[in-house]
Amino acid sequence: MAPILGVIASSISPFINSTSYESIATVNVGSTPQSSITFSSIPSTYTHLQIRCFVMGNTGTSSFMRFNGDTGANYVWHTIYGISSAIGSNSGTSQTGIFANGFNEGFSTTYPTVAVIDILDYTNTNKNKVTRNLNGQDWNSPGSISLASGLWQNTAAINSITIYTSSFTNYSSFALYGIKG
Amino acid sequence: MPATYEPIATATVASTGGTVTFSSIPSTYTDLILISSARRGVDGSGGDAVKAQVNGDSGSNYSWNGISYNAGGTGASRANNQSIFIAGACEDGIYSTSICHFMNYSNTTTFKTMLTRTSSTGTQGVGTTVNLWRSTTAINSIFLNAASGFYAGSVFTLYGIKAA
Repeated sequence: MAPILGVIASSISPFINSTSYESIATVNVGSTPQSSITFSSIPSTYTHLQIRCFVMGNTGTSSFMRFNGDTGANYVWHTIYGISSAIGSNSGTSQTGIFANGFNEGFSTTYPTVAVIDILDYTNTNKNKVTRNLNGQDWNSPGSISLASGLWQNTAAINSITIYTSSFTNYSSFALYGIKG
Repeated sequence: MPATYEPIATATVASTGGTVTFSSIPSTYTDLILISSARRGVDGSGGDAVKAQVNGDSGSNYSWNGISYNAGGTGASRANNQSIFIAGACEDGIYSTSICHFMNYSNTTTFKTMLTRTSSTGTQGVGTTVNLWRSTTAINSIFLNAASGFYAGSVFTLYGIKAA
Protein backbone atom coordinates (compact mmCIF):
# COMPACT_ATOMS: atom_id res chain seq x y z
CA MET A 1 0.00 0.00 0.00
CA ALA A 2 1.34 3.37 -1.04
CA PRO A 3 2.21 5.84 1.70
CA ILE A 4 0.39 9.09 1.67
CA LEU A 5 2.46 12.06 2.62
CA GLY A 6 1.14 14.60 5.02
CA VAL A 7 0.92 18.09 3.61
CA ILE A 8 1.61 21.31 5.41
CA ALA A 9 -1.65 23.08 6.09
CA SER A 10 -2.03 26.00 3.76
CA SER A 11 -4.12 27.97 6.19
CA ILE A 12 -4.96 28.06 9.85
CA SER A 13 -7.75 25.68 10.73
CA PRO A 14 -11.04 27.56 11.10
CA PHE A 15 -11.66 25.57 14.26
CA ILE A 16 -8.56 26.81 16.04
CA ASN A 17 -8.42 30.40 17.20
CA SER A 18 -4.74 30.89 17.86
CA THR A 19 -5.43 33.29 20.74
CA SER A 20 -7.93 31.06 22.57
CA TYR A 21 -5.33 28.65 23.96
CA GLU A 22 -2.42 30.49 25.52
CA SER A 23 0.66 29.51 27.44
CA ILE A 24 0.60 31.13 30.90
CA ALA A 25 3.73 29.76 32.56
CA THR A 26 6.12 26.82 32.57
CA VAL A 27 8.10 25.41 35.48
CA ASN A 28 11.13 23.31 34.61
CA VAL A 29 12.94 21.34 37.28
CA GLY A 30 16.70 21.48 36.99
CA SER A 31 19.50 19.50 38.53
CA THR A 32 18.32 20.22 42.09
CA PRO A 33 15.25 18.09 42.88
CA GLN A 34 12.11 19.81 44.09
CA SER A 35 9.32 18.47 46.23
CA SER A 36 6.77 20.82 44.70
CA ILE A 37 6.09 23.32 41.97
CA THR A 38 3.68 26.24 42.15
CA PHE A 39 1.88 28.38 39.62
CA SER A 40 0.96 31.59 41.39
CA SER A 41 -0.86 34.80 40.43
CA ILE A 42 -2.84 32.92 37.81
CA PRO A 43 -4.76 35.49 35.77
CA SER A 44 -8.55 35.34 35.95
CA THR A 45 -9.01 36.21 32.29
CA TYR A 46 -9.44 32.65 30.99
CA THR A 47 -12.36 30.23 31.24
CA HIS A 48 -10.47 26.97 31.73
CA LEU A 49 -6.95 25.90 32.57
CA GLN A 50 -4.88 22.99 31.36
CA ILE A 51 -1.69 21.67 32.94
CA ARG A 52 0.54 19.45 30.84
CA CYS A 53 2.96 17.51 33.04
CA PHE A 54 6.14 15.69 32.04
CA VAL A 55 7.60 14.24 35.20
CA MET A 56 10.83 12.56 36.16
CA GLY A 57 11.39 11.58 39.78
CA ASN A 58 12.90 9.12 42.19
CA THR A 59 10.03 8.41 44.49
CA GLY A 60 7.52 5.63 44.76
CA THR A 61 4.71 7.96 45.73
CA SER A 62 2.18 9.75 43.56
CA SER A 63 1.91 13.48 43.17
CA PHE A 64 -1.04 15.56 44.29
CA MET A 65 -2.42 19.00 43.60
CA ARG A 66 -3.72 21.81 45.78
CA PHE A 67 -5.33 25.14 45.05
CA ASN A 68 -4.86 28.57 46.61
CA GLY A 69 -2.61 27.16 49.29
CA ASP A 70 -5.46 25.15 50.80
CA THR A 71 -3.87 22.32 52.78
CA GLY A 72 -7.11 21.30 54.45
CA ALA A 73 -9.06 18.08 53.91
CA ASN A 74 -11.15 19.71 51.21
CA TYR A 75 -10.39 17.52 48.22
CA VAL A 76 -11.93 14.43 46.68
CA TRP A 77 -10.67 12.31 43.79
CA HIS A 78 -11.67 9.22 41.84
CA THR A 79 -9.79 7.19 39.29
CA ILE A 80 -10.12 4.19 37.02
CA TYR A 81 -6.84 2.64 36.09
CA GLY A 82 -5.02 -0.15 34.38
CA ILE A 83 -1.85 -1.53 35.91
CA SER A 84 -0.41 -4.06 33.49
CA SER A 85 -3.37 -6.36 32.77
CA ALA A 86 -5.34 -5.47 35.90
CA ILE A 87 -8.13 -2.91 35.78
CA GLY A 88 -9.40 -1.22 38.88
CA SER A 89 -10.65 1.89 40.57
CA ASN A 90 -9.74 3.97 43.57
CA SER A 91 -10.87 7.09 45.35
CA GLY A 92 -10.07 9.43 48.18
CA THR A 93 -12.47 11.60 50.16
CA SER A 94 -11.63 14.35 52.64
CA GLN A 95 -8.13 14.44 51.22
CA THR A 96 -5.52 17.18 51.52
CA GLY A 97 -4.90 17.14 47.75
CA ILE A 98 -6.20 15.84 44.42
CA PHE A 99 -4.31 12.96 42.78
CA ALA A 100 -2.21 14.39 39.92
CA ASN A 101 0.00 11.63 38.47
CA GLY A 102 2.35 8.75 39.15
CA PHE A 103 -0.47 6.43 40.11
CA ASN A 104 1.11 3.11 40.85
CA GLU A 105 4.88 3.11 40.57
CA GLY A 106 5.49 6.72 41.51
CA PHE A 107 8.19 8.23 39.31
CA SER A 108 11.38 7.20 37.55
CA THR A 109 14.50 9.07 36.47
CA THR A 110 14.51 6.97 33.27
CA TYR A 111 10.87 6.70 32.20
CA PRO A 112 8.67 9.80 32.01
CA THR A 113 5.30 10.04 33.73
CA VAL A 114 2.89 12.32 31.92
CA ALA A 115 -0.46 13.92 32.60
CA VAL A 116 -2.91 16.28 30.95
CA ILE A 117 -5.04 17.94 33.61
CA ASP A 118 -8.04 20.13 32.81
CA ILE A 119 -9.47 22.54 35.36
CA LEU A 120 -12.82 23.72 34.13
CA ASP A 121 -14.48 27.04 34.96
CA TYR A 122 -11.70 27.86 37.41
CA THR A 123 -12.77 31.47 38.04
CA ASN A 124 -16.45 30.77 38.67
CA THR A 125 -17.28 31.73 42.25
CA ASN A 126 -20.61 29.91 42.18
CA LYS A 127 -19.15 26.44 41.76
CA ASN A 128 -16.82 24.07 43.51
CA LYS A 129 -13.90 23.29 41.24
CA VAL A 130 -13.59 20.06 39.25
CA THR A 131 -10.58 18.61 37.46
CA ARG A 132 -10.22 16.02 34.73
CA ASN A 133 -6.98 14.11 34.45
CA LEU A 134 -5.48 11.72 31.91
CA ASN A 135 -2.18 10.36 33.11
CA GLY A 136 0.15 7.43 32.68
CA GLN A 137 3.59 5.97 32.60
CA ASP A 138 5.12 3.00 30.85
CA TRP A 139 8.40 1.46 31.92
CA ASN A 140 8.35 -1.39 29.37
CA SER A 141 6.82 -3.28 32.30
CA PRO A 142 5.34 -2.27 34.50
CA GLY A 143 3.06 0.53 33.45
CA SER A 144 -0.10 2.27 34.51
CA ILE A 145 -2.77 4.37 32.83
CA SER A 146 -5.38 6.33 34.70
CA LEU A 147 -8.40 8.53 34.11
CA ALA A 148 -9.11 10.61 37.17
CA SER A 149 -11.46 13.30 38.41
CA GLY A 150 -10.94 15.68 41.27
CA LEU A 151 -13.02 18.04 43.36
CA TRP A 152 -11.95 21.04 45.42
CA GLN A 153 -14.79 21.82 47.78
CA ASN A 154 -14.40 25.56 47.51
CA THR A 155 -16.10 28.14 45.29
CA ALA A 156 -13.18 30.56 45.28
CA ALA A 157 -11.56 31.40 41.98
CA ILE A 158 -8.31 29.50 41.58
CA ASN A 159 -5.30 31.79 41.63
CA SER A 160 -2.55 29.34 42.51
CA ILE A 161 -1.84 25.67 41.89
CA THR A 162 0.73 23.55 43.71
CA ILE A 163 1.72 20.07 42.60
CA TYR A 164 3.74 18.14 45.13
CA THR A 165 5.42 14.82 45.82
CA SER A 166 8.60 13.85 47.59
CA SER A 167 10.93 14.54 44.66
CA PHE A 168 10.60 15.86 41.13
CA THR A 169 13.95 15.53 39.38
CA ASN A 170 15.83 16.98 36.44
CA TYR A 171 13.95 17.41 33.13
CA SER A 172 10.54 17.50 34.80
CA SER A 173 8.34 20.14 33.20
CA PHE A 174 4.94 21.54 34.13
CA ALA A 175 3.23 23.82 31.62
CA LEU A 176 0.10 25.84 32.43
CA TYR A 177 -2.22 26.97 29.64
CA GLY A 178 -5.30 29.16 29.64
CA ILE A 179 -8.30 28.56 27.43
CA LYS A 180 -10.69 31.38 26.65
CA GLY A 181 -14.39 30.69 26.28
CA MET B 1 0.93 36.89 21.32
CA PRO B 2 2.52 34.04 19.30
CA ALA B 3 0.19 31.15 18.59
CA THR B 4 0.40 28.43 21.22
CA TYR B 5 -1.73 25.72 19.65
CA GLU B 6 -1.04 25.48 15.93
CA PRO B 7 -2.01 23.11 13.17
CA ILE B 8 1.10 21.64 11.58
CA ALA B 9 -0.35 19.39 8.89
CA THR B 10 -3.44 17.49 7.84
CA ALA B 11 -3.48 14.23 5.91
CA THR B 12 -6.64 12.90 4.31
CA VAL B 13 -6.59 9.37 2.95
CA ALA B 14 -7.55 9.55 -0.71
CA SER B 15 -7.62 5.85 -1.57
CA THR B 16 -8.85 3.07 0.66
CA GLY B 17 -5.98 0.99 1.99
CA GLY B 18 -3.59 3.92 2.32
CA THR B 19 -1.29 4.79 5.18
CA VAL B 20 -0.21 8.20 6.49
CA THR B 21 3.16 9.76 7.22
CA PHE B 22 3.88 13.11 8.82
CA SER B 23 7.46 13.98 8.03
CA SER B 24 9.84 16.87 8.72
CA ILE B 25 7.96 17.70 11.94
CA PRO B 26 9.43 20.93 13.29
CA SER B 27 11.14 20.71 16.67
CA THR B 28 9.95 24.12 17.80
CA TYR B 29 6.95 22.96 19.84
CA THR B 30 6.74 21.40 23.30
CA ASP B 31 4.06 18.79 22.68
CA LEU B 32 2.31 17.38 19.63
CA ILE B 33 -1.34 16.40 19.40
CA LEU B 34 -2.61 14.01 16.74
CA ILE B 35 -6.35 14.00 16.17
CA SER B 36 -7.75 11.18 14.07
CA SER B 37 -11.03 10.44 12.42
CA ALA B 38 -10.19 7.01 11.10
CA ARG B 39 -11.97 4.06 9.54
CA ARG B 40 -10.29 0.76 8.77
CA GLY B 41 -9.72 0.02 5.10
CA VAL B 42 -12.08 -2.94 4.83
CA ASP B 43 -15.84 -3.33 4.80
CA GLY B 44 -16.06 -5.92 7.51
CA SER B 45 -17.22 -6.20 11.09
CA GLY B 46 -13.95 -5.76 12.93
CA GLY B 47 -11.51 -3.02 13.74
CA ASP B 48 -7.95 -2.28 14.69
CA ALA B 49 -5.80 0.16 16.51
CA VAL B 50 -4.23 3.07 14.67
CA LYS B 51 -0.71 1.73 14.86
CA ALA B 52 2.14 4.19 14.87
CA GLN B 53 5.89 4.33 14.52
CA VAL B 54 8.10 7.37 14.86
CA ASN B 55 11.27 8.33 13.04
CA GLY B 56 11.05 5.22 10.91
CA ASP B 57 11.81 3.03 13.91
CA SER B 58 10.33 -0.41 13.27
CA GLY B 59 12.36 -2.07 16.01
CA SER B 60 10.95 -3.53 19.23
CA ASN B 61 11.34 -0.22 21.01
CA TYR B 62 7.75 0.51 21.96
CA SER B 63 5.50 -0.60 24.81
CA TRP B 64 2.08 0.34 26.15
CA ASN B 65 -0.48 -0.08 28.88
CA GLY B 66 -4.17 0.56 28.29
CA ILE B 67 -7.71 0.23 29.59
CA SER B 68 -10.80 -0.11 27.45
CA TYR B 69 -14.43 -1.04 27.22
CA ASN B 70 -15.49 -2.59 23.93
CA ALA B 71 -17.60 -5.40 22.53
CA GLY B 72 -15.49 -7.86 24.48
CA GLY B 73 -16.08 -6.12 27.80
CA THR B 74 -13.89 -4.12 30.16
CA GLY B 75 -10.22 -4.80 30.53
CA ALA B 76 -6.64 -3.70 30.78
CA SER B 77 -3.76 -4.78 28.62
CA ARG B 78 -0.09 -4.17 28.22
CA ALA B 79 2.61 -5.16 25.78
CA ASN B 80 6.40 -4.90 26.01
CA ASN B 81 9.02 -4.66 23.27
CA GLN B 82 6.62 -3.95 20.44
CA SER B 83 7.31 -2.64 16.92
CA ILE B 84 4.41 -0.17 17.05
CA PHE B 85 2.47 1.90 19.58
CA ILE B 86 -1.22 2.77 19.85
CA ALA B 87 -2.16 6.20 18.47
CA GLY B 88 -5.90 5.66 18.07
CA ALA B 89 -8.63 3.32 16.92
CA CYS B 90 -10.39 2.55 13.65
CA GLU B 91 -13.44 0.38 13.08
CA ASP B 92 -14.92 -1.18 9.99
CA GLY B 93 -17.76 0.84 8.52
CA ILE B 94 -17.55 3.88 10.83
CA TYR B 95 -15.06 6.66 11.57
CA SER B 96 -13.66 6.58 15.09
CA THR B 97 -12.27 9.61 16.88
CA SER B 98 -8.97 9.54 18.73
CA ILE B 99 -6.51 11.96 20.25
CA CYS B 100 -2.86 11.20 20.92
CA HIS B 101 -0.62 13.50 22.96
CA PHE B 102 3.11 13.33 22.25
CA MET B 103 4.55 14.81 25.43
CA ASN B 104 7.85 16.69 25.26
CA TYR B 105 8.47 15.13 21.85
CA SER B 106 11.45 17.24 20.85
CA ASN B 107 13.65 16.83 23.91
CA THR B 108 16.83 14.85 23.39
CA THR B 109 17.42 13.75 26.97
CA THR B 110 14.51 11.47 27.88
CA PHE B 111 12.45 8.64 26.43
CA LYS B 112 9.17 9.64 24.79
CA THR B 113 5.73 9.02 26.28
CA MET B 114 2.42 9.33 24.43
CA LEU B 115 -1.13 9.38 25.84
CA THR B 116 -3.97 8.18 23.61
CA ARG B 117 -7.74 8.37 24.07
CA THR B 118 -10.07 6.60 21.70
CA SER B 119 -13.80 6.93 21.15
CA SER B 120 -15.32 4.24 19.04
CA THR B 121 -17.98 1.57 19.05
CA GLY B 122 -17.70 -2.08 18.27
CA THR B 123 -14.45 -3.93 18.59
CA GLN B 124 -12.30 -1.00 19.69
CA GLY B 125 -14.74 0.80 22.00
CA VAL B 126 -13.66 3.53 24.37
CA GLY B 127 -10.27 3.50 25.95
CA THR B 128 -7.03 5.14 26.86
CA THR B 129 -3.42 4.03 26.48
CA VAL B 130 -0.03 5.20 27.63
CA ASN B 131 2.79 4.44 25.21
CA LEU B 132 6.58 4.52 25.52
CA TRP B 133 9.20 4.89 22.81
CA ARG B 134 12.57 3.98 24.26
CA SER B 135 14.62 6.59 22.48
CA THR B 136 15.96 10.00 23.46
CA THR B 137 15.83 11.21 19.86
CA ALA B 138 13.46 14.05 19.05
CA ILE B 139 10.43 12.88 17.09
CA ASN B 140 10.53 14.19 13.54
CA SER B 141 8.17 11.82 11.72
CA ILE B 142 5.07 9.77 12.50
CA PHE B 143 3.87 6.81 10.43
CA LEU B 144 0.30 5.60 10.86
CA ASN B 145 -1.19 2.34 9.66
CA ALA B 146 -3.79 -0.29 10.49
CA ALA B 147 -4.53 -3.80 9.30
CA SER B 148 -5.76 -3.20 5.72
CA GLY B 149 -4.83 0.46 5.97
CA PHE B 150 -7.35 3.27 6.30
CA TYR B 151 -10.59 3.93 4.46
CA ALA B 152 -10.76 6.85 2.06
CA GLY B 153 -11.85 9.95 3.92
CA SER B 154 -9.94 9.13 7.10
CA VAL B 155 -8.40 12.36 8.36
CA PHE B 156 -5.40 12.90 10.60
CA THR B 157 -4.42 16.35 11.87
CA LEU B 158 -1.21 17.14 13.71
CA TYR B 159 -1.01 20.14 16.04
CA GLY B 160 1.89 21.67 17.93
CA ILE B 161 1.63 23.16 21.43
CA LYS B 162 4.29 25.54 22.58
CA ALA B 163 4.90 26.25 26.24
CA ALA B 164 6.10 29.59 27.46
